[in-house]
Amino acid sequence: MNYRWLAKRFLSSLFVLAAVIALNFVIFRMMPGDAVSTIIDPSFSPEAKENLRAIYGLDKSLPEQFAIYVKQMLTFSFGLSFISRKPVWDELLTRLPVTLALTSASMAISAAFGIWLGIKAALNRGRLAEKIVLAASALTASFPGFFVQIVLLMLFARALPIFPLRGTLSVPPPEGTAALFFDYVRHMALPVLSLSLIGFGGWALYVRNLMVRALGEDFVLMARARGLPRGRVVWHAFRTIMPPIITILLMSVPGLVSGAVITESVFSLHGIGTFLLEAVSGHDYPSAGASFYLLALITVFCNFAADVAYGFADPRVRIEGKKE
Amino acid sequence: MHHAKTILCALFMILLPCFSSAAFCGGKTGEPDIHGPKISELSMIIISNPDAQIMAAEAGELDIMGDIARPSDIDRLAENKELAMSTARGFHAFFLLLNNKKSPWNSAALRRAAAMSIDRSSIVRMIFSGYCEPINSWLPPVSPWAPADSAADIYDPQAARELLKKNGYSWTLSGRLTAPDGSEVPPMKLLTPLARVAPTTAELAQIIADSLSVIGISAETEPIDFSVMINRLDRKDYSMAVLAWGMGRNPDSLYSFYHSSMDFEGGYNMTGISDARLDGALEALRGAPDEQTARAASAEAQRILAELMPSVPIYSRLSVAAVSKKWKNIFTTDSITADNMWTLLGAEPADGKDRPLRMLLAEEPRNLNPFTASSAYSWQVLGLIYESLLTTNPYTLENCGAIASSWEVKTAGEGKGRHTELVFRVKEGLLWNDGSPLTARDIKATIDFLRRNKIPRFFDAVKNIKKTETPDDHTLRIVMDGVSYWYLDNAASLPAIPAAVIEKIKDWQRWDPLAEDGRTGPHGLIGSGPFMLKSYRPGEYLMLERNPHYRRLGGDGR
Repeated sequence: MNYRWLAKRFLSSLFVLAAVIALNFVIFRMMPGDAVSTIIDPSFSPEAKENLRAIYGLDKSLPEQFAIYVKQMLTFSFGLSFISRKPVWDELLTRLPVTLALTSASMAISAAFGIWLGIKAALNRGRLAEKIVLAASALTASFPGFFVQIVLLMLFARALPIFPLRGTLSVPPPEGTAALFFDYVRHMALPVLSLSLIGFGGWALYVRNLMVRALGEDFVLMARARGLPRGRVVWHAFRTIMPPIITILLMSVPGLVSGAVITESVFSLHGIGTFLLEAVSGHDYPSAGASFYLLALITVFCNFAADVAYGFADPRVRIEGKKE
Repeated sequence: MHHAKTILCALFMILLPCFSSAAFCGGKTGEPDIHGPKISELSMIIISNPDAQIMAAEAGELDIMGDIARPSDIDRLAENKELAMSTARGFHAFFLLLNNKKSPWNSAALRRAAAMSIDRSSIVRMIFSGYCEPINSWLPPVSPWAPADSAADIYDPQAARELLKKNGYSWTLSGRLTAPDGSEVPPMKLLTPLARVAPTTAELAQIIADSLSVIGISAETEPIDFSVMINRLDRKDYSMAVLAWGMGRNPDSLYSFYHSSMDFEGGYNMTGISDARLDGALEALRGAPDEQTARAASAEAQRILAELMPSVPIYSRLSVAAVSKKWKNIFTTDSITADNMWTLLGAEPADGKDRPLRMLLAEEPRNLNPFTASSAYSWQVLGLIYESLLTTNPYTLENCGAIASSWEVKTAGEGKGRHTELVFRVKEGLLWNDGSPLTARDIKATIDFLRRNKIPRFFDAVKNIKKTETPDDHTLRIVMDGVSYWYLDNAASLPAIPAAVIEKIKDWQRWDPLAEDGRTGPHGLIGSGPFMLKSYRPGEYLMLERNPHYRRLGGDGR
């Protein structure tokens, strides 16, 4: 591994994070109004609003607010949410399990299914199987996510009540760990399936294209000429397309978190996505700042990890890095 | 307008009678003869997706669903044979705001003509399928203080043109309105929230803009983000805008919206109206020592408002709720829908098998600290746990006793020292939900704590309190600074918290009553309301159980 190249990547990641920290502060303060100004309640006098503003720390000068904010971001102590008056960290931690379960499961399913379909389509080029995969992928990838989810909710939670309409647990929840686990899985099934359904098409189309190109390479022809079994030939071809797949996989993580905003809203899930939405619409600066900062951190980390992983998967990247 | 903060007041009034009150000069308890809670548990199920809420009600997963706003949802639920719908006049009111400080809306004649050119009845039929009523008053018609003709139809485009003609206005050949000074009234923008956020409001704004063409005003809607819109209203950087808010039933709110002293950036006088007569009437209303004076001042203020027409009242949305027919003893009146405290007290399963009543909670409450909770959803829960001195009679919307058995409003002192004194008699034998006795000293401790800490949510309610006294365990005397009939509302609507809890609170801002570590204050929500919190799964549900010490539980009127 070329350490100079690695250090350069690390420094550029830090620069991106610094820019995100500054932008997070500026953009939210540039939005008209604040957490107090949209209260239109005649029983809430301007004096009371000023008191509230002071409690939120909005009466301080912008440089003062910025210094406090930067300190909070660097120390990962994000302060109290304007809305709940609870530490933002605590709020994020209580919501993390749902978002993690939702995004990791749906990403695993959509990626695995999409990659498998993409390979199948490439191996069956020009046949009905490929046409079906291409049509299904294009169809699912082109529908807006919220539309698909609402339709699924109406079909499988209302018309055919197989899945629950909301949340992650029944009311009241069943007793016993196993029963609780299965209840959780039943509740999460539809949100996960819907995200997987929306996501697999993109994977299938992408992998199909990469695989078609790889299968046309000379080394594949050579492998076939040597009489290698079909499975081994496919595996060789697949290995060559792994670096871009790894990159896409890692780069899609932040997108999944932001995509969770809609999914969690539709299925009334208590996750980071709905937290983000409430924070932005309620001008909850500490919560919004922390959420976007963490999202940026995940993005930068995934980007960095993708670079490193790419280097491992494709030795040419490392060699080029050394040349630099 | 579906904005949590703007509807806060309305939800407050409809769902939590114990936190809303009008004023009567001295009174005795007159609560309905309902005892309970008969149910042992109440499940408040959190469903934030509006479509899923409707589906849950249809599927029988909810027993009570309130605040149903979309006409299509109301129609859909009304078709369900398992559900009964309840409708009541609401506290919601929708206005066309006009910038009175700028031409052309600095003319009262033009503002009145604009009001006469809008066909409210047709709007109600077309957009809301009749689930709202046209209004012509600055208080919702349900308010006991609204004028008798609050829903009168003033639509008369011909009369509007004649009024303008009489005041020197004319029209160009192309039909555009010309001001008395000969200048053409320029095309204007009508600010409206985004259709994505408030689809009916955006559609309504378009109809209003079209209606104004009858009097030669060219208007075009400008959909903008709600925060941006409020910001522009605050700065008076607008010509016209549409806005809805939840009103209280008493007329004191008129002072905030139309007194000239409230016309500053961020003040509630968003139309910028400034009129000496109106100011005088509103001051008389705010400083009225008794009901009779208040009624006269209220009528006068509303008469002047009708004359000046600083904003144009359009409609008031009806409150609509759906209730499962599997429950009996559902309580409704013309003024409150089924999702009210009295229903929660009296409701029983129709088949006699005890089970939890499942009620919708449309958003996560997020904050259950009574000092800092500001969302309507937090108070939908807290309002079942905490009580106030007075509550609202569901039939008349007048005050009736809750913690207090009787009350008295007096004017004492002379000259500049004249002030209002409130005396409450606290019911005997009341207990907090932990079994400890509730006395006037607890209420005093709560009020003193709110005053001492200047807690924003309650700041306006306690800022005029000079001192509180408890001559005995069941009498609370509050001495106010100055005279106002509305001081009763302010003091009587505060949530009562035990003195023992208040004393242990270390940091009211950070106090989390659900935390067991006691770092910021004591654990638990100790109130005197009909329910107490049993369990809470954030994002999922809140389970409340019957307060075994509730004052109306045994039916002995303790």
